[in-house]
Amino acid sequence: MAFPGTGAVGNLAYRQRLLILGVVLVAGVVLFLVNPVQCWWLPSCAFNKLTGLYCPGCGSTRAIHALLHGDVASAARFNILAVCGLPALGLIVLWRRAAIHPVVGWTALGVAVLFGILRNIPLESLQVLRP
Amino acid sequence: VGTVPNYLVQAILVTVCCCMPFGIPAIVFAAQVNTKLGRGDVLGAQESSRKAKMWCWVAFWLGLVANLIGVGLGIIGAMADNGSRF
Repeated sequence: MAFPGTGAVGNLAYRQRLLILGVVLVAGVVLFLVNPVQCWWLPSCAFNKLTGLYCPGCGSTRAIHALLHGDVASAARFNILAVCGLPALGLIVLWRRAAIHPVVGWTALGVAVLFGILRNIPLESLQVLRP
Repeated sequence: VGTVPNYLVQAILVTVCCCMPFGIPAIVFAAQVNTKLGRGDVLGAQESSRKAKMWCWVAFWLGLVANLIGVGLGIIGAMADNGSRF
């Protein structure tokens, strides 16, 4: 059965994809050149500063910097969700069927919320999820 | 059927770019769009799409302001640290 409205629903316009590609390229170059740990002007998480809790994105700037330098182990240590989620997000941007499938959105929500909860539970065994 | 953008990518991006509390409703409404379309509820999907877009912008601007304040505090903190050494 064809998914209703599959033809022209829920996907990104060509111009938006170009915009996202441009932003990703610039951000990639900046994050390759700049080490977030030693950098005072790259923003760190405002949610973390205000609440002391880790949001699902905390550590992803450091993780992407490590990834761009080929250090997957450190990247996974900073934010495992960013390492796994970036390829998935790329897929959603590039592949229309993924972007419009209802399961994808709810899965993204569930994974982000679960990760955000788990990394804030003060257990020694969950330390690996914290940046 | 016209186009009903679901804003899922934008919602995820504003959420991980540290506007988390306001990014979550954006993802919820984004996810609703295609679920409602699957049921044939085009009007409901358009309503969810509109809300997803609204929450994306709320999260984007509040996140931007929060991050700018954060960078500003970082500068002040760095200056205070430098000053305390003398």
